[in-house]
Amino acid sequence: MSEHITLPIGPQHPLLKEPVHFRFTLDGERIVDVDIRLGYNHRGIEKAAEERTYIQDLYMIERICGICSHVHATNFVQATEGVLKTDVPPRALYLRVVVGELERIHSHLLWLGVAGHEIGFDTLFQVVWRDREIVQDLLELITGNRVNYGMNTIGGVRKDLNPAAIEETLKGLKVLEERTNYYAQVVQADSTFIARVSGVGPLPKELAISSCACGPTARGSGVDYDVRRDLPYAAYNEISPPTVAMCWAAHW
Amino acid sequence: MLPQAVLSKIINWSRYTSPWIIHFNAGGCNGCDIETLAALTPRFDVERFGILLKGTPRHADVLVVTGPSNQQIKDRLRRIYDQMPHPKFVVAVGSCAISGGVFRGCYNTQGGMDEVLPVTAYVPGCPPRPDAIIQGIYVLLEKLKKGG
Amino acid sequence: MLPQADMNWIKIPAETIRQYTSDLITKGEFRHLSTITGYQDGETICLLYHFLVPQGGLNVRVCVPLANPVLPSISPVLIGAILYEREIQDLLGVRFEGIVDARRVILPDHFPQDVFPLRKDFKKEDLP
Repeated sequence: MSEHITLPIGPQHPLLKEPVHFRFTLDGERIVDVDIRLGYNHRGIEKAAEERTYIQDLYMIERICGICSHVHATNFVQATEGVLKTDVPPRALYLRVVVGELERIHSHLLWLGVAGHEIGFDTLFQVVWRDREIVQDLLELITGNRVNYGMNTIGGVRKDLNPAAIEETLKGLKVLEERTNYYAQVVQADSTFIARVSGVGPLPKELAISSCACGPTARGSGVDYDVRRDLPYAAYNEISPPTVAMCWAAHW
Repeated sequence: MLPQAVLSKIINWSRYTSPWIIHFNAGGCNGCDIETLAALTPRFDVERFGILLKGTPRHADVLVVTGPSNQQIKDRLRRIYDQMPHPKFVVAVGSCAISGGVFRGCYNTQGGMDEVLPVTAYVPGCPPRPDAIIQGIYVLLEKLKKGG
Repeated sequence: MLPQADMNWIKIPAETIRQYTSDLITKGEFRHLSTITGYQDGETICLLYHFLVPQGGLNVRVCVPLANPVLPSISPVLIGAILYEREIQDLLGVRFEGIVDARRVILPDHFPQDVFPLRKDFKKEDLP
């Protein structure tokens, strides 16, 4: 009979950005069980949302997560607008998309940097986060805030986009595109990076589907799924964003 | 052997020129945490003040703590604080760490960090900008400089 | 545009939910399960399974009585539903029969075992 080892990680661990507790059960190097305890981070937002007004809820729900705050707020206002049967001006829908896409860029760059940090490639972390400041500046220019933008409100958005800001945004996006292409080239060419990540915890396509993976996680396993295309909200039905379902199977 | 007065001056000097920090999220939304991390990256570069982010409380002088703190985490928070060597300081970052912020009154949160730990400096904002976090740490360093 | 536009809503008996899910999978219609949500409506607890099928969103509603909130777990046929079911189990006190892993996940360790925060009779003043 094999001996099992219990390995607790968290709530304070240099790897963790949030206070969660994992209790891994290991059989040699293989993880056979994990007990996840999220109570360290549980705040009780669901109950608080029942007790507060819709406008108070909007600002609280935006703070479910400080990285993807616009998404949560968009969800909430859409649900509320659905209940109220309110029409939202098309310009407001497009502005939600603009902020949503900028948020997506900042979030991807954030995780690319953190992923670099976790595997000991700190240069990547520092350089990516330097470039992430470009999109943070754009978000601040458009919404007034770097995080928790406060852009959405029930029935529309709270701020408009002026021509000067549009020009500035396009300029910033050009730089970001250039930099992102460069990073894509770096991580696919750097042999130490590939040696560190290839074959580590691969998620096969079937498991990705049955474990309800979504977003880049699912697409990284080759699942062709993008909520913006498959179940469009805001103005996504009119723009059909390009989706990349890519898989590093060659490296497994 | 140096006289005691000179020695304590050197110790104090090294204290305010290279404070090592540990960063802990006590149940916040991550907004303050990414802004704290952003303060370490090239645009803001908090390392020019000699500040270094450490992974363990045993190496740290300053605990940078975010989030409202809750019923389950407060004992862990206290333990992390106890593990830090003396003298130690706490910087509470963000509205939640100050008063519970938007989560004040939720059934599992508390009304601010000072219910659990003695806080030296508060940085308001939801979340505070990286510049504001740097200012908060700078205020703390100024205090150390004066030997406070 | 609101996402409600291409959403379908159906209601099925609670005890058939596992069969329904496994049929979706064997027919090849299942693409994604976004989440499971739940709410208390008077003396019943209703759960909504938010599926994605080729035609768009498919929201399946099942209801169980508050006095005996038990229904079959779909985790034996769809492993990704475990976390959703465990969350509902913690917050609403619904029991899932045959769930692969029934341990508490969301609530803090010291939280009483028989108190469920999202039920309407919950009061935070009653907590120890």
